[in-house]
Amino acid sequence: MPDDRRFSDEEIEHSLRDIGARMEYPTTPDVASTVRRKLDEEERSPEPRRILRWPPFLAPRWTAVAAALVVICVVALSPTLHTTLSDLFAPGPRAGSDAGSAARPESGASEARHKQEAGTASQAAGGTAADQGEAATSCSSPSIDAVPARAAAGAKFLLRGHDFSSGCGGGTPSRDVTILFRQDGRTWKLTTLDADRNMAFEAGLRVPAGAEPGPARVQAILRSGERTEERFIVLR
Amino acid sequence: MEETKLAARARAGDTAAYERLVRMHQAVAFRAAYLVTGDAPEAEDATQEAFIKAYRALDRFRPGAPFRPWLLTIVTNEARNRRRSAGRRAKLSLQAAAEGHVVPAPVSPEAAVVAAERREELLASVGELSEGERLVISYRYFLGLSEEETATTLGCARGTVKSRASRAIARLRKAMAREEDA
Repeated sequence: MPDDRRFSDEEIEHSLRDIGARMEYPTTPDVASTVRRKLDEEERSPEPRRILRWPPFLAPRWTAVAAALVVICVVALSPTLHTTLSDLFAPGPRAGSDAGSAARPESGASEARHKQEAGTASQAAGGTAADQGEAATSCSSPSIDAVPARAAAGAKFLLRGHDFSSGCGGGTPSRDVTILFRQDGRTWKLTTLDADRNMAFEAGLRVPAGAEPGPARVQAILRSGERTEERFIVLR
Repeated sequence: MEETKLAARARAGDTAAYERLVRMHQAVAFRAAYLVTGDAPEAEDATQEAFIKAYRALDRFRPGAPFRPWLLTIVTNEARNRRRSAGRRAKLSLQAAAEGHVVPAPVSPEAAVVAAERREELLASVGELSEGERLVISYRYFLGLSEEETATTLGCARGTVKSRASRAIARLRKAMAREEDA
């Protein structure tokens, strides 16, 4: 049996550090530029990145059609499910009381748009309590719009945001929403703001002085990483 | 600009800031990947993919936390997966004595040869360790990471890093004694 006490732990550690200093590493490749190019390409790509790649025989539209057919068949063939769904969507007092409790609080001038939309939806559907309930509990994605959506570099524009909340059906207003102006791989941070109690915001901003004439995007990024954007045209 | 600010800007979608962050860490990331894969093109691919994954995961990065160990965790996982799918062990080598970074101590040529042989043997013995022990030794002594950083990078407790290093050194000591006797 070998006598391993000839080497102390310190000697081994010292030798290991010595090896570390002499290790033959290949030259570090410049991955920084490649990584940025890939990320910018991804950002510019009109199609969202697909996490799941579909094999050709399972093209999304055919899968969607097949899934819809299966659902229709199941509902049509199952009397119990049929009855349950009919009850669920039929107008009635129960749906009305649910709608009242789940309704999102709305007040203030900037909520006129929401009220108008809710009113229109309700009228179109005959103003049933069930419809109101469905509209109140639906989960809207945040959205922004720029007014005007075409302006020269350095010019002012108004950015309005809606439905910036932390969750569906009465979440808290989003905080630290980052507003970016992006064009051809360049990014300008315009501001960071908080949504008001109506989950909305309005901000007077300027088109970055360095922006070139042509298409650009204004992007709003929530702390959760969720983002929404609006097309913008930089004029000469 | 300091790392925390760059990370915050990158988190907000600023790819230029992220490029600077990548440039700051690409050398250590590539070396970490190379220590796992032992293959330069594989390590480059792993590093690149890890940086892209890290960008997408920036929302999960705790602002103000050190970026390097968080990044190295992603790099290590990516490199490990690639090495496993390639089904091979890392084979590392040392620079020729003339190219070494270490200033040689004034010893006789014979002693220098013996020392070089010992280093080669020791490195070969490191290659024989289990993956967990080998990574602890590689990151602690070859990359020069602290115990804390090594623990974060490998996703284990600091005590685990200590015990793995201790076990690994005991094995290396035995292996070196065997080589001496042979």
